[in-house]
Amino acid sequence: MQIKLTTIIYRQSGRQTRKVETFEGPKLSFGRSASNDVVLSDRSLPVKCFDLDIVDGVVGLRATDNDTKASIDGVDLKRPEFLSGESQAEFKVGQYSISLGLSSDQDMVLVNIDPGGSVGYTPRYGPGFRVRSKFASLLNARFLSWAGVFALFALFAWYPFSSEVASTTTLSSDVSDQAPEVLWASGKISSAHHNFAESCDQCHVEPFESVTSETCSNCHEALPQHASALLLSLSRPIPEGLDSLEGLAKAEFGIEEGGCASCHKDHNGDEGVLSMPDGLCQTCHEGLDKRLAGHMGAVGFDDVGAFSAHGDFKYLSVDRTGGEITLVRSALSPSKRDQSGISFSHEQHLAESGLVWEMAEEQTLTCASCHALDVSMKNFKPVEMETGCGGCHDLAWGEDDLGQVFRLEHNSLAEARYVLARELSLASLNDPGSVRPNRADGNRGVENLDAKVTEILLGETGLCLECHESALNDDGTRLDVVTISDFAVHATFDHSVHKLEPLQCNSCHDAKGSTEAEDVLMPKIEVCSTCHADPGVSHRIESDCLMCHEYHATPPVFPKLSSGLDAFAARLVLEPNRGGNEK
Amino acid sequence: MPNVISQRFESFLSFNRYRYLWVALALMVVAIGCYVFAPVKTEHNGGTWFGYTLGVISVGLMVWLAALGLRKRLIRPGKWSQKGRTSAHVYLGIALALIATLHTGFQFGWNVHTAAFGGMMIVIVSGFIGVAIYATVPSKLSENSGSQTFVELKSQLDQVNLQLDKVLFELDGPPLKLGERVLKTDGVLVSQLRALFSQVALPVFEQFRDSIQQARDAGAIERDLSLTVLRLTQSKAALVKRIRLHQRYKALISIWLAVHVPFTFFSMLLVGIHIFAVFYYW
Repeated sequence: MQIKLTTIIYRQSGRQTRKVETFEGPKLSFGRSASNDVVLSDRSLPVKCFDLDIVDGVVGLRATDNDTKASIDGVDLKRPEFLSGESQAEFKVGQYSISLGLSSDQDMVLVNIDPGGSVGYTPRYGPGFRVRSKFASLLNARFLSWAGVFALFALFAWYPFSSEVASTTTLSSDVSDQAPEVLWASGKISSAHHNFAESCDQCHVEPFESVTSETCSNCHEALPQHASALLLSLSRPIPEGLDSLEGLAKAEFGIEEGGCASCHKDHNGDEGVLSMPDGLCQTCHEGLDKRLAGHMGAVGFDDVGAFSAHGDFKYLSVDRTGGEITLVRSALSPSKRDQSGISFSHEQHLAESGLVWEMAEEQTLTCASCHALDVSMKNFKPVEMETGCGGCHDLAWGEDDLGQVFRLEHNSLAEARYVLARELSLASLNDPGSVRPNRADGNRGVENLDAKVTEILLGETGLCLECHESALNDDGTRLDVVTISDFAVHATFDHSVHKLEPLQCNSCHDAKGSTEAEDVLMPKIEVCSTCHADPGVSHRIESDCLMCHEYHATPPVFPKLSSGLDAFAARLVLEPNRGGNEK
Repeated sequence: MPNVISQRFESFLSFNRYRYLWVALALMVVAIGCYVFAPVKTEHNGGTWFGYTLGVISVGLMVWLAALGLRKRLIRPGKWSQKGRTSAHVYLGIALALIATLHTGFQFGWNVHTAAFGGMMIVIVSGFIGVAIYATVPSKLSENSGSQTFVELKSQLDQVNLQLDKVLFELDGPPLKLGERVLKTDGVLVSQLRALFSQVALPVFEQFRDSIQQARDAGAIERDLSLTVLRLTQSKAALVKRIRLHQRYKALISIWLAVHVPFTFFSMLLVGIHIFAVFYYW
């Protein structure tokens, strides 16, 4: 029995043609592989799909292998006899519609195949391989450059600048460290200037112009001047070499010479505003004595370049040579005496036995018995008569029969005389025998009152001369005591930070060995240099100029003290007078 | 006797007896010496006279180094050597890293100034990698592709793929599945990324080969077909390997350029903003 296969071919032009082939039976294989009699070009179909079998005149379909489904479109592939009683059958395999039938004379099997459309091999992985891949185009340097440049410009130029313009109109109270200007700042602004962090124009007033001292002084008013403008200009060395070039460049770029910004730099993060690093002090102070020679008499200007080059400390002291009272600032030496006019001995007051020890109820006095830190906790308060000495030296001048002790207030001599004369007069009027002056003879009454008062106060065992040396003025009315509470007028010292074991008061001040009030108990620089040294020296405290000296300090004025100057007036003048009234 | 011109090959690194290496070393020694001994009154930073000097030198060097890209495009008659310029580019780039670092005074922060420095350092450090890449990759690249161009390799692969695709009509079961995978092995975007990090030979080729052999032994496919498939697979494996190596070398150069060149522009932009910001808030 022959098999007539008719295949419809869909041309690309849209025309349909038929291809008719005739096979000699009895078998026809169908499948995707080219080894089949009928190639079904459908990737969804198996390589071998099914066979058309003719056995003893009966036409049937048979699955080629187990991979083929048991039925195709309702036709049971396991029953090969479906055409025995039927004349035709139709079914679909993949995209193909296949119909089977018998010719009218029953001796030819007719097979019609309709692929339903154009079929054939279409390459899936053909020449789709691009030379320039997407990956490569992403890596295009020009594209990346432009993209990055735009992004970085937006972040670092447009954003800070636009917000900088905006921030000049509104000053936010909530200043964050991430303010956009931070992107332009050379470093974090100091905590002191933190409120300006978002408005750069508070200090940088004009673009492309450096910060001026005038802007600083808007807030920092009335800062004490280090020295007069004339002195400062004379102190500065004439620039040479690179320095002169630097000066020219600064002038060219409009940078102020000697202004605030020459010593103070902000934007240093947690270090705060940098204040005059050592090198800047040295600019003027190295060789200062030579430069100022002939101009200012060069008195007191040392050639100090570093801590190690620092000369002996100079302390104030009172000098009474020739009857004149003058303040002298000089280095320590055996001949340097502080002639304050007080009769006093540190040794006696710190002794572990003796008169003072007995009066203090058999207790040894300590430094703290008389000396106390002031509110700053840096310096000691001046020892006052009433609070310091008065505990023992109570100015008792007499007592009455009832045992009441009469005391004087510590006042001027004239006042003391007046009070004492009045008290004695009143006592003699009321009851001439009641009050017994303990520092004059027993002659009661008001006779020789003036002499009696003088004896009580200024006699050999007089009240005043317990402490005051017998330095009477011509008129006999004033006791000129001049005490100095600040011996190192050009330096500051913080006692509170020196309260470290094993440091004691006597580590620096040899009070126990001082037998005379005129001894100057201030330490020499060698005492300091056991711990302090130039920056860079190991195992020592790095000590720059500003550790002890202040730049913005009013130069101390030494009053011309003449004999007889009021003690209280002198003491007021010599109070520490340093640091600006900075607002 | 023919006039033989003997020309000794000289790398850009050793150009003119390392002339620019010595120039760069001298520049660095002078810079360090000045940094240590310059009479700067405050700490070193970009704001001292010495800092400004270093800054001016740095920006000049940056522009000159970046101009290598222009120089090589302006081919003109005259006495100049691209190799010499490249040699100077490498060594003076190293000197720039030091000079710019001294310019900072080692003061860094989260700001445009440090960003400019960071961008410049990325360019310089990537430059080191670039020297290593350009010293090795080009020879490997030509060794790999032989006399063929990349387009020719690709065209061959297309042909093999076409034949393999047709052969897949004859396969079924596991060989078909593996065959489909073998066919797909060449997607460019993925392969280029993979080529950078993974092996160039892929196990799927071996698996496919084994499955074909098993199918042949089992009588599932004919001997001729199996030979065809194996031949195509082998061709494709060799081509894929070569293409992947090619892609890897090209990708290395592309990635390097995609860092070195854009960051050159980034750092120049940032240095521009840095200078503007410094003078704006003078």
